[in-house]
Amino acid sequence: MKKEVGLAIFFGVGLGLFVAFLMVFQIRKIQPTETTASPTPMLRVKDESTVSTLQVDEPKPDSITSSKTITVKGTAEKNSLLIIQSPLTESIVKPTKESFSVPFDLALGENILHITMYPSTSSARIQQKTIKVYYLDEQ
Amino acid sequence: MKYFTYSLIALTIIAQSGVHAQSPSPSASPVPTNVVTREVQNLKDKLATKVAELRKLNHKAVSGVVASISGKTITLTDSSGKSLQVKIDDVLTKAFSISGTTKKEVKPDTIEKGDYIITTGPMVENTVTANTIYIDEQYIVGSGKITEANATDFTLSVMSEDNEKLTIDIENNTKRLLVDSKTLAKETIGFTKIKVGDTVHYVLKKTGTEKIKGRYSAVRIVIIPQEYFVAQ
Repeated sequence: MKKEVGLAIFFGVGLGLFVAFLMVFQIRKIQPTETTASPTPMLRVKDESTVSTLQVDEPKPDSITSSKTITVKGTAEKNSLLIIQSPLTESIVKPTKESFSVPFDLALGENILHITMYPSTSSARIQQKTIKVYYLDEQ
Repeated sequence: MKYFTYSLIALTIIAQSGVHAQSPSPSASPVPTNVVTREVQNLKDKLATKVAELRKLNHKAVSGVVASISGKTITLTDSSGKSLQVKIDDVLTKAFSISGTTKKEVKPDTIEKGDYIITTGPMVENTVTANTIYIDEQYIVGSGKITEANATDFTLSVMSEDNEKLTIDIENNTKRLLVDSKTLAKETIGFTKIKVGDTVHYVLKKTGTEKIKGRYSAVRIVIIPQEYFVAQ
């Protein structure tokens, strides 16, 4: 074996090893000490069943607000009959699309919001949600 | 080849020690004082923000009927039947009585067994350290089908959505509304317009002193006539 060939192999292997070690140490440095389980992604299939489900996004249950008027937001079946009732008042709407946003007045203290969705077809199931909201004049 | 093997081993050892040597020593470069001060301040700010967030997170409102009062501790029973403890602080806790749209400050010791109260404050497990207590009225909000409309004693028999039989007293001051099956407009109606088979959305007042189980006075009712569902 020629001296030049030996040197070339020597430097080649050396450089390779150096880079490999460097990479291994860098990866170890980046990786967290504890491996946390990645959350399972929630797949929401947008089919007939999800569309006809009453979902209330706002207000959150047992939330405290200092505002006299809130917005009740969520999703419901298009053209269903939506009734939002509280001890103070009620709103009756027919959503023209799947989402709804209804301004709603609150009474001082506890407000029990009873939300009912009557589907457009009488064979479908009536759905209801009850959410408590506290309108309190405090910070 | 022998030289090559020895060189390879030597290079491996050198490479390993070389990588370790790359980690900076904390004492290698002195950190300026102003940088340390800034970092401490940042840390303080972060801590303050975190504490505020945690306080906000633990700041809850709970409501229920006063089951018992023992010294400075109130035991509540919430709507699900769960028992909660409310701690009263002589200095910090304020109490109010809600009447309509106004609230009036009262002494915490005016709270009695059977009162319906809302309390706010930091909550740890089942104990709330009360910042504020509100004495309020308790309502039942729900809906059901009318199975009987008694025009003699102005009562409605209703089968609720939870299959609970209710007797609703329609008082003179009960707000009675009927939904138009075509326009969905609401109109005030008399008792005679209410029919068996209609759907009723009700708000009932619960005093805790009801003589007959399942019988309550109505605050407001909204009637959806069965014609609405027939037309669907």
